[in-house]
Amino acid sequence: MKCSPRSTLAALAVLLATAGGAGAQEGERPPIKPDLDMLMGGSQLSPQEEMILLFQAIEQRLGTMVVMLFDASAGDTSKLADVGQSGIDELLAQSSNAEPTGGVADLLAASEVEGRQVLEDIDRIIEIAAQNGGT
Amino acid sequence: MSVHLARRRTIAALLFGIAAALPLSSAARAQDESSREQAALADEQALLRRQLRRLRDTMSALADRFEADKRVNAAKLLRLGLEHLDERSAEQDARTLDELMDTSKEDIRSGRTHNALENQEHIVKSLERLLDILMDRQGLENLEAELAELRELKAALSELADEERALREDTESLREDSAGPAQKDLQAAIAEAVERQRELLADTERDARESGVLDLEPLRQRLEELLAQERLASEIFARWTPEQIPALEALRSPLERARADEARSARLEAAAEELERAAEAADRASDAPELERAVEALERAAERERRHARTSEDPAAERAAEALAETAEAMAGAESTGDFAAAAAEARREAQALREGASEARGAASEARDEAARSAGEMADPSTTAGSAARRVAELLAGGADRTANRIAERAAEGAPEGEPDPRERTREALAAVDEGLDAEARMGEALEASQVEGGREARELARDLAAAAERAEIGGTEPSGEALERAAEAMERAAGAARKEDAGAGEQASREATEALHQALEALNQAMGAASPERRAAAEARAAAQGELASDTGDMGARSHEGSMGEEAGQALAEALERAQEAMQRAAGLLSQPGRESQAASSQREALSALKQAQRTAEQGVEPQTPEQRARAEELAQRQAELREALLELARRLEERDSPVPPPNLDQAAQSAQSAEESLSAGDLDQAEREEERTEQEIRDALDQLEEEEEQYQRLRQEELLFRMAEEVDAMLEMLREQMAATKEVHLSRGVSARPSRSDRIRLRNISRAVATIAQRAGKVREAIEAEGVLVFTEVMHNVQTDLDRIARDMGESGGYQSGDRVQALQEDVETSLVWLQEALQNEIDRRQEQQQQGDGPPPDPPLVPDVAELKILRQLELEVLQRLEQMLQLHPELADPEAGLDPLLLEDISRLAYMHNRVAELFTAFREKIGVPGPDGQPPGGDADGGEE
Repeated sequence: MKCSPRSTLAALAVLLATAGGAGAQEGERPPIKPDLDMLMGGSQLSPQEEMILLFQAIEQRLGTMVVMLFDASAGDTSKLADVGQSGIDELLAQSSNAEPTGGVADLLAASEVEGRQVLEDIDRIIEIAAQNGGT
Repeated sequence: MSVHLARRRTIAALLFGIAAALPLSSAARAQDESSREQAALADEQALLRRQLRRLRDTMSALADRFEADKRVNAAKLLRLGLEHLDERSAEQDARTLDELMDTSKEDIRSGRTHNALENQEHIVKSLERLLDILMDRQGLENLEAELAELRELKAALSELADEERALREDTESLREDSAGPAQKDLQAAIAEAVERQRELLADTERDARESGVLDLEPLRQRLEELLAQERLASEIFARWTPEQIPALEALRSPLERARADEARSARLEAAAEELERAAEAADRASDAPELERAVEALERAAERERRHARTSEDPAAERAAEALAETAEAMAGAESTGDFAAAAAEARREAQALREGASEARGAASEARDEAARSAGEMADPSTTAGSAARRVAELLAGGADRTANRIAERAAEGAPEGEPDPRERTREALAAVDEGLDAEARMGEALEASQVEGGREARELARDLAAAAERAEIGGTEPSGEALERAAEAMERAAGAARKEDAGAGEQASREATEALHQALEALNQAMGAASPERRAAAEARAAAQGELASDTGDMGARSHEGSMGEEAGQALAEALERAQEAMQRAAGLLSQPGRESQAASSQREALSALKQAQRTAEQGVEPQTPEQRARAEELAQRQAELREALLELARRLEERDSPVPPPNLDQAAQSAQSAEESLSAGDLDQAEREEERTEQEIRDALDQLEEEEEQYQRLRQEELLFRMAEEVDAMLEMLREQMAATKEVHLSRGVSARPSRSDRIRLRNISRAVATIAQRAGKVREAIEAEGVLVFTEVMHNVQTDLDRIARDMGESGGYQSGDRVQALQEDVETSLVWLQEALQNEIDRRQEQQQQGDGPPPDPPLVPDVAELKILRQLELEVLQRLEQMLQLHPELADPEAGLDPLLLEDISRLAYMHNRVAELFTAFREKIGVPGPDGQPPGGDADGGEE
């Protein structure tokens, strides 16, 4: 299996966010390798670098899901109001729930989409590990 | 299923009936149970006892049969198992397994629940040990005990290594303290001399580079080599005498005559001997077989001589052949004693005649040798090649040459009679000497020609290289050298021509001219290399003076070398090193005062520097304790070393006594070097002591490395054993759970719609509840074992299993209102699913390890019990579970899509439960990511953002 475009995009997003953060708080956190220049230059990621990015992307998605699920359990759909910023609208566009209604179901559906991507990314990590003789 | 596991399970089946039943017996703790229930449990225990007896009988019968079938190993395992059944270990209160079961039965019957439980734990352990024995594997406890012992030994050994290092540091400190003022002055003076010599060397090298001498130095070396070769060629020309070759060749003629006469004499003598032997046989005519052999020998000898006569046309051979043939015929035809006597007489006559002929031939040979010796003596001359060969021939024929003397010695060694050498041998040696002389004369001409051609070529090449190097280095005055090289080349070409024409005199003359020209070329080159500017010359003179001064100072230091704090031997070594340094410095000073010798001077200066450094090391290391206090410190260190050695030997003994499958590390070397260190300390040889202490420490650390490897092996075995046990435990739990799930469904069906279960249903539900509680207990033990190995996700899953099982047990019991409905059954299914995940993951890991072993791949150092990928797969399963429930929820509850709908609080509670479930997965993922050392995403605190999750 190849790394999905979404997965790569997510990894890049993490990286870009990291690069931005590092610029703002220079000296506080070491930048995540590989650096941006390498990616922007079109260099291929090494298996180890790809794995690191996948781990970070998964962790972020899981965190996002936690927030959405707890909001849903409290019946709090306020975050759906600023969908443009939260990115939930993009998630909903990928869910089977084709028509967003603004209800709790939207939060659950968005969580599900994130969760499916988490599963894909874990599969990719397992695949990379197998290719590199890892256990 | 792996082969190993399959085999293990087959054997385990022998014990399954016993072991599987035991957890049920734990119900004995319920002291408030009716006596009927106690009696039933006691009966179960009695049944187990009977099963154990049957097992013992089976084992005994199998052992007999295996022994008869010569299946020695299998029989041995069964015998060991039987021994274990009769064992009375202290932890079992000196009771056998049988007796433990009896006691347990009595305890159950009389309501001593606690005692019964304790006994049953002992019984389970004992049965597990029996399984280990039958499986021919080390039990987990044994492996852990081995590991613990190994770690203890390693710690002790590591401590010894540290103490040895501390001892070495203290020895070093004592050595530094023992250096008195005179020693310190000496060391300071040597250190200063090293610096001065280093500076002088740097100056010389720099000057050589700047003056361009370095570029010309290799050319000068080539020129010197060429000159040496040409001198040798001149000498060879002088020895070469091709005009004497005919005279030398003329020596061959008398020598070959002598050789032919000697051969003839020998043949006649041999034939005479044969005839005399035949005559003796004829004298003893009564011995028919001997006669027959004698006749055959005569016939063979006659034939041999006939053949030789035909090829050589030698009349002596012809005569010998006839005599032999006639005698053979006479003897073969003899019939009476008279015939034999006549034949013998005739044979003796013929023999006498042959001997006379042999004597004549010897005389002729002697005359020929004398002739050759006279001629050789006349031309003998050690200054020429041919004359040397002639002289050698003369000596050999006179019997005095080395080679003949050596031959005599060889003959003596071979057991041949001593005395004068065989004349034939002398003749052969003399002929060989003639041939060698001729060969040398012939080869000499070729060699001289080749050497002169090559020399001329090298001289011209040198002239070219010299011109190029001089231009490169901007050195003037090399032209005369180049011109002389050209002259030398021409002379060598003439010499080559003379050699070709075998004109030794002309060759020698030309070669001497070439030698002279080369000498002039070298002189001119030296002059050019030395023609430096006045400033440079002055600097070189100053450097030569400084070098001389340093040589003098070094000599003074050498005189003081015995005044320091060193022993006699070290003092002597120091004096010698300083003497070497001084000699090299003096050479360097001499060379520095000669123009153009910078490169050679630098070489001597390097030599001096090396000797000075050696002296520096010797002075530092050769210090010995001087005062009584310092000697007492050395003794104290020796005592510490002795104690360390004792401890080392004790550890070596313990390592030897261990029942390890691998040979223990050898600490003999360490003990020996410790002994040497101790002796050196007592003798005050601190430097030697330090070296031995270092060696001792290294030996100990090598042994530690070896133990480290062994520990890794044990650790791997232990992990494999643990995996097997966990897999078995999970299998057993699953089996028990499935039985209880079926029972739950059955009871639930029998209850129908009735809210209150019947008395019999309550008893059954209570039994299920107890069984589930037992499974929960087992889950707890597995969780503890996994947690101790740092396996995060598996621990979490097993923790969930345990929690769910406890909840099921509670809900199905009296306190939970005897529940058996969908909720309880769904929870049971969840537990089953989790156990299946674990079962598969453990089995995969067992298979993977076995495959790795079959492929001969060694495990990575310090591998985890369960690989990271297996943990990640379980994490995936957990997340998938969340997603499936989420999907289910969305399908079952369309009202969730309505933003205006008031949602059921129970539904929100379900979502909340799902959120917590997912939050736990997120936390586990973060912990897992941190465990394997992957950096986290920036801006996200470790442990996951549990915003709201912890509320």
